[in-house]
Amino acid sequence: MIKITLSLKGLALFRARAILAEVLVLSGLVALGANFVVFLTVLTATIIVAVFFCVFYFPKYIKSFKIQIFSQYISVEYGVFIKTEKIMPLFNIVSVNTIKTPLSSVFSLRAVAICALKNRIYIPSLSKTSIETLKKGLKVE
Amino acid sequence: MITIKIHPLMFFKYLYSFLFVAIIPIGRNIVSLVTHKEYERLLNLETAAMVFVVVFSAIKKRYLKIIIKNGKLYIKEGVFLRRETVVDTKKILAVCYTVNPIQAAFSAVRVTFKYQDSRERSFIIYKNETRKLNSALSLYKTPNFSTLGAKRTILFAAATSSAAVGLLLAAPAVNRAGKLLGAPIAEKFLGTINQTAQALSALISPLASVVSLIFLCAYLLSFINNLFKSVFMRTGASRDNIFISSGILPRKILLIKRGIIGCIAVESNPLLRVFSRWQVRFSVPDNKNSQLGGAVFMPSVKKGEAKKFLASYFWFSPERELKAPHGSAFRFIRWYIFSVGLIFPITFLLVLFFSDFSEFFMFLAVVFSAVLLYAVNLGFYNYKNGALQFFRNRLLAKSVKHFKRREVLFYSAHISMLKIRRYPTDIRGGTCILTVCLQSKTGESAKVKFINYKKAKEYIGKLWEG
Repeated sequence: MIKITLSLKGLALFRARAILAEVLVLSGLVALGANFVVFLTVLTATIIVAVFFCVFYFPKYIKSFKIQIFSQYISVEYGVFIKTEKIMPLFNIVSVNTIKTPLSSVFSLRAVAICALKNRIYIPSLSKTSIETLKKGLKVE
Repeated sequence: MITIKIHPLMFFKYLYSFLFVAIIPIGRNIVSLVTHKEYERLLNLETAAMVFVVVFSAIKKRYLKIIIKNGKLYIKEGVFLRRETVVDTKKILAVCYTVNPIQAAFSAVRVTFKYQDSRERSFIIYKNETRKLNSALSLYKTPNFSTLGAKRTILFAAATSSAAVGLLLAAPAVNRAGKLLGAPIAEKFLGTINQTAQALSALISPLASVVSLIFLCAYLLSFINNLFKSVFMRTGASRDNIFISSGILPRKILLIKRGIIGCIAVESNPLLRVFSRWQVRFSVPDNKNSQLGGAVFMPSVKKGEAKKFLASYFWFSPERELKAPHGSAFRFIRWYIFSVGLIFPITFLLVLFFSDFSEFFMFLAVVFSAVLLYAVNLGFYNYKNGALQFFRNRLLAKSVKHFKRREVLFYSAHISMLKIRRYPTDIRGGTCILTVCLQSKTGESAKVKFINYKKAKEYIGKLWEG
């Protein structure tokens, strides 16, 4: 059995994404010419949401990821409030896609999508070495 | 060596792909030639392209050859670029014959082969060539045929019809017919419905009766369409193959190898439940939504017959079983009860603010309450009968999906994914909701609720062993 965990850098990536999203929402409001009261209300709301996600949700979400590769199948477990576990037999895996975004490449991380027909398992942030281990475990190399 | 004769209609099949770019513009020009005597309109690039397409299609049809030799199927095609496809006949997993009215008039049949790698190829051949093809592919060894009687055919057509499909069929047909005939057919149809609704206004609100009549008409249309598709249905099964033929025009004949079946579902929808009937349907692992993706094999049969079919042809013996714990019935029905509870205050508010439509809202409240009460009944059924049984390389999920009571047998080799979901109540109670997904684009799946999480994990671990 091979165990893979999400990189701790993933937490920084998620936080950076949250801050970027907040900046985008606020600049959108400015571009639309929202008045000061609306801007202040949205600013407060987004800060509360961002703090909730950055301080509470994302660390738990990253920690919740458990990737295990057995001889016959791969199991990926995640979720903070609702726990989800996806189990996919190795012989039915059609492709393994690696996704890189400009922001994720700053943190040297990649997202991975393990695809079977109709279904897929998405892993949001893995380091290069973890991806190598994953591909080795899935026997796609 | 067996050579399968290609029907001349294959030429039109090749031509069909150029219908909008070459054939229709030239047709328009010919009409203008006849009506306005404009000869110069025919002498253009479009005509040259069409002549090329027609000649090319004729040559392409001439050079297409299907030969079966030494257990292999050879498809030779192409004019300048010759291509030869060789497929081992053992690797042809399914063959589907369809006959539409034009093909029937010219004794032609469209044959579709499905290969082991999910690829499909279609050709139009002579009707009398099918027997030769079947014997060469050893797909026709199905000794026990059963023909569907009139009552069962009607019940099957009624059970598989839906108002949504009827609306999808009717809307473009009415629209196009109106445009072609230059008559307001849609308006006339709605006018008739409106008159009927006014006549029924003493019994039911006009708006409610208009909605009901539209849905009823759509359902009737879907029913008639399904009746044409399912009439004269014959099914048969041998040790290796399954045979299904149904419909008048179009008539469809499906010959499929058992080895490729991904799951078999024994299911009963609300209408079949009224008559205590079930249907057996199978799905094939597929990478596209094709006509070979699955079919109903036993329509409207008693549960005993369906079980007998499973037992005699897909033999298995139970090993382990997971069921929802005793006393958890409320968990199956809580959302439905909550929704029923919500309907009354919402209706009250709607009646208060839109008093002109009060009768219509009351009608909707009655309909939704009836649907939700049926869902509560199904929730109890799911609590009593819902289970996940593990067999050697197989998995049987007993559950409810889309108002259907179902028992789905999955072959572990064709399972694409198992999804386990645990809500906070499940985490506290040590239970989970398990969804089994078939390796198919059709998205066949079954969900079993509130089974023991630890045991489910343990049994899943052994599912793909050996």
